[in-house]
Amino acid sequence: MSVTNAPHAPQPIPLPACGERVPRGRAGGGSAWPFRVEPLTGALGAELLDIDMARDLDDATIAAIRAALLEYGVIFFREQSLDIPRQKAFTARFGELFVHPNIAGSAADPAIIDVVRQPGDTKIIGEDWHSDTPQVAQPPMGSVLYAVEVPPVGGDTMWANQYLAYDTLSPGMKAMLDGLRALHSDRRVAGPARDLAASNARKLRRDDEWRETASLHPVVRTHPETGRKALYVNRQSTIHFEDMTEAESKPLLDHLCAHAHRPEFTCRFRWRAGSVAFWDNRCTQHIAINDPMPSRRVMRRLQILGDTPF
Amino acid sequence: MTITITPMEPHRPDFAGLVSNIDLRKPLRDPERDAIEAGMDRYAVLVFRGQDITNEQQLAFSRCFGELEPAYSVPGDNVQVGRIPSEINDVSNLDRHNKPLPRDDRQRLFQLGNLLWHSDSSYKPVPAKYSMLLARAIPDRGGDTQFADMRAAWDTLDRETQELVRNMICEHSRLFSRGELGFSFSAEEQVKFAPVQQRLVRRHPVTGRLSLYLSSHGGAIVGWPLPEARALLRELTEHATQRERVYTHKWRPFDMVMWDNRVTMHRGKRYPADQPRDIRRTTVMDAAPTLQQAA
Repeated sequence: MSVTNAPHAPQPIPLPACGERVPRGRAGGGSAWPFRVEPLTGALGAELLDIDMARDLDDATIAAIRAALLEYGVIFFREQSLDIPRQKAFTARFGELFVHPNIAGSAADPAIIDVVRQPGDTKIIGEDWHSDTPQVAQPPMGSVLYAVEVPPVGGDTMWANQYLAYDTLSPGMKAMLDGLRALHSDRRVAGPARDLAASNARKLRRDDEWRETASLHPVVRTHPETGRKALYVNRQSTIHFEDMTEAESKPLLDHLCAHAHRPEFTCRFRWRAGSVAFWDNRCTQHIAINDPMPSRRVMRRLQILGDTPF
Repeated sequence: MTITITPMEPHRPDFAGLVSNIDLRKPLRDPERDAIEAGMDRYAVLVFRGQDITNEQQLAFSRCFGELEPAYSVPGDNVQVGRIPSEINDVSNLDRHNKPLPRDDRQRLFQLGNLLWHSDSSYKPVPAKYSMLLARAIPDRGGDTQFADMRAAWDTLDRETQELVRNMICEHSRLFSRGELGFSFSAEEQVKFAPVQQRLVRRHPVTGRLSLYLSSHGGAIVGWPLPEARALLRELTEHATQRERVYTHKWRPFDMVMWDNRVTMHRGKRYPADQPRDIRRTTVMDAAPTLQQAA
């Protein structure tokens, strides 16, 4: 038999890296973006320049932003001036706002999640690779995260392209995962054992009132807009495969979760005050880098309603 | 009745709010404090009507929002000293016997700087966050206070100018604001009033919105030739104070007006010099120098 890949080597990465369609910005043909687009890496992520999110953007611009989100998986905006109403107005152009079941929003508005790190905090929200809120039956399709105050250095965020994670699996592994489902739970991130500093987020329930939220989702999901398949397991929420024990599931889950964020699938974003990240939660994972940093970090997150993964 | 805050003017939904159902003679409860802070974040200027409160009650209310600035000292004979407690800025035109100051009184003339658009204490390294101004006696005409929305001023700047000013650092001093009115200063005052540096563009730590930080105290831009800096600061000030971005407050006795100096400028309007105007200000300090704040 011909060995095209060493047994432990990953499948080659297909091109183009991101969306199924020929990328508008890079292919030369077709309509150009109505704003400047600067990709971060070959895997995913792009900065969209010359957009003032505080303004009432026309439908064509919103449609182009949505197309960029689908193509790049995560898009970034710099130098924005958003308060809560403006961030909500922008986010609502892409769908209904999602209200998190387990984190109390700002007093004034349950859709707003303040993600605050204080000097001295040792644990932070999202410090392991994850997609957002997969414990619910219909996880949010995306998030819009706004940096109000960030340290001069540290506190970056990384994203990983889960289309690539799926595409680079072997045909045998793809066949094995076909039709398989896994249980996702918030027990690791929000359960009583989890000792999040009180300043990070206000839990809706106290520990003794905490009840697990869990849902079964396909291990490989099909993106409802691009039609592409993406790996949908992560270290933070995926507990076991359907009808298998945790012990039985662990070796393969460990392999898939480690594979999911290989460096060549990722991008890393350095925040400045006024930066915005808008990610597609259906085909990416992300991690908040918990590097030692003495300063405050204040972020404001809104999420958009998603559909049932299939 | 619970505290409610509504726009002062229907066509301006996020600048200048009217606070109802609150009695400032009583200690402020936490939910009221939170509602007022949220209202300040949204409206930047809040009006409380009919608050016949004592100096002590004004001080107690103000302390709920942070550390107070000591009152400024006006160079001169200090004929006002002793009229009211020292943590309250006397913005009146009265001497300690509650008589209007003579027209040529240096203290009165110095205070005429309030007629120029400014942000309180922008000449201090740590400038003012909130100011609270209570009117006890007002003249029968004139004396309005006007507020300019500096968030809107940023939003409406053209992009090229936004980029030009985004990281500018200005120098602020009363030498500039009073110099504009023709004051000259002793050698001692020139040392005492040495300029401090402030960012020209600030980001509000809670809302995350950008705003222009201008003031008549601002008279130089670091790295810029002086005449060019003065001309630009004047242009920006004219842009910021166009009528559609200005709220004019017509005082009634026992109005208290509270504003966020980080995102507004204000000025007093002229009034007859022989009429008593008894207006008292408390001032909450900001957390840090603007150069140390994220922007």
